[in-house]
Amino acid sequence: MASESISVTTSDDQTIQLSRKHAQMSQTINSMLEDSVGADQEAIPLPNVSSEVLKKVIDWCTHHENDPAPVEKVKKLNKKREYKAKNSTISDEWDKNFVNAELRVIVDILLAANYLDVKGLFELMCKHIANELKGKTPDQIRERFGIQDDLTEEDKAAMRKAWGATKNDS
Amino acid sequence: MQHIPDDLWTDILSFVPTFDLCAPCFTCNALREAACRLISSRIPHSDYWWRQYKCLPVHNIDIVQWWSSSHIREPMRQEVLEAVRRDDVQIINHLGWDVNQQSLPIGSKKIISICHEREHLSTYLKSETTFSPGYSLIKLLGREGNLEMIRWIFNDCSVKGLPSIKWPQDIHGYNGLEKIRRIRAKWTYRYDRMAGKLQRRATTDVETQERGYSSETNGIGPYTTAFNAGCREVIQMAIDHNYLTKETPFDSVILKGSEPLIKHMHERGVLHVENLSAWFQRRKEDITEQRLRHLWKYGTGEILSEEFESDQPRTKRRKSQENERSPF
Repeated sequence: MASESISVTTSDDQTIQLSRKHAQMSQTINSMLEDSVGADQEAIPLPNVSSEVLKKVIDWCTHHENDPAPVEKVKKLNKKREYKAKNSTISDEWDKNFVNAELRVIVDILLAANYLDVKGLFELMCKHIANELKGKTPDQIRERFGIQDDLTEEDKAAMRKAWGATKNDS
Repeated sequence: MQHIPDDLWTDILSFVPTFDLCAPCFTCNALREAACRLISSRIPHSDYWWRQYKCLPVHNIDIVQWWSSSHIREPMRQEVLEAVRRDDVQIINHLGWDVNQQSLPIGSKKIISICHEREHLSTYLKSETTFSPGYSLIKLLGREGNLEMIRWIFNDCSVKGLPSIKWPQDIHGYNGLEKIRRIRAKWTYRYDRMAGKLQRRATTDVETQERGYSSETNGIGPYTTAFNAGCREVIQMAIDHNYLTKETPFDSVILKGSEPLIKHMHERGVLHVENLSAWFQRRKEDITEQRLRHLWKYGTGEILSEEFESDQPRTKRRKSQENERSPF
């Protein structure tokens, strides 16, 4: 019978125990477990996730362990027959507190969620960062996310033309 | 801080509305490419998304000043209306007060009052085409579902916080009302969808703002439309807030009322006896027919003839036979 907890080794060489239920919320760990059926139960290496971030991921998994599996939503059209953006509202109060952290931590969790393939957590982090972007000027976005301006003048002119299109142009 | 890999920006920006993708397009190559890919996928009917008109963001004065100074384009009515919707006078001042009748249904009391101070409303009222745009004004009012604004425009009663305005005769005159009624008939089918929003907005209005108008009405208001659409929630809300009383002249629309709604209103004592008897006189044949149909459908063997039974679908017939056999 499969053991109830699984050991993982983080990038900072810490071994952390997590329950099978939480481990199965990560598609990456789940695949590793399926691949290692019958093999000696060694700690699963997670070279891209630090212990600090993994603990955050486990916290999130603990809170959401009984959530139903996420359903792929159908794209909706708006009045102009254009597809709408996905809804970025974070409705769960616990999640709101969870994302109330430094951007450095948020980005680390985003990367960990992407690597571990924890869909709900990845979506939450994307929503939070998307909300951070809204209403910011390009300079503010660059400053906030430490991005270099690598656009040429031609790129910017093309974008000005695209965004400057009026109803008569279309 | 670790950098966000380029491929993740598409996932992140998928949560950003199209107008908010403007700034990312001017930030860096990775964001620009992700944003352009998304815009292209969101405009499915155009091969040339860059030629399509796109609304620019008006979240705050910083972003508005950025695109104004970047010479992307002059502000258009959509941006002004969005600023009106956001109730941001500073942005409207920056964009220019290109407010028109579309601003009325979506504007707050603050915005409408400023429009009045700036004499935009009187200009609008004096214009020769004052009532020709009434159709779209009514449609907008219905879509936005701002109860106070609807009452202010149609009821000519003073709404606290809004300027007292003498609306053109066309709006309150007989012709105007007839036009509104005709439009309303077309408009009604959309009310099921609107009703939820209408109720939400109205409830917020009532909760957050002191009511400053009387319960008198000339019969044109959100609840008449809700009534025609059979929307019980809105009717109940109107009763709760005394918008709908026994004195409300509902006679012109009462005849179209559905039986459950009439019953609901009657039980709450908001139907004048004359209105009720007029409705009953008009509908008694329909009601009799409806009742007969009801009996016919669910009636006993005494009513159901063999002939009728044979006309029923096989499954229904089997079900009714099973029901007859069942002691419960």
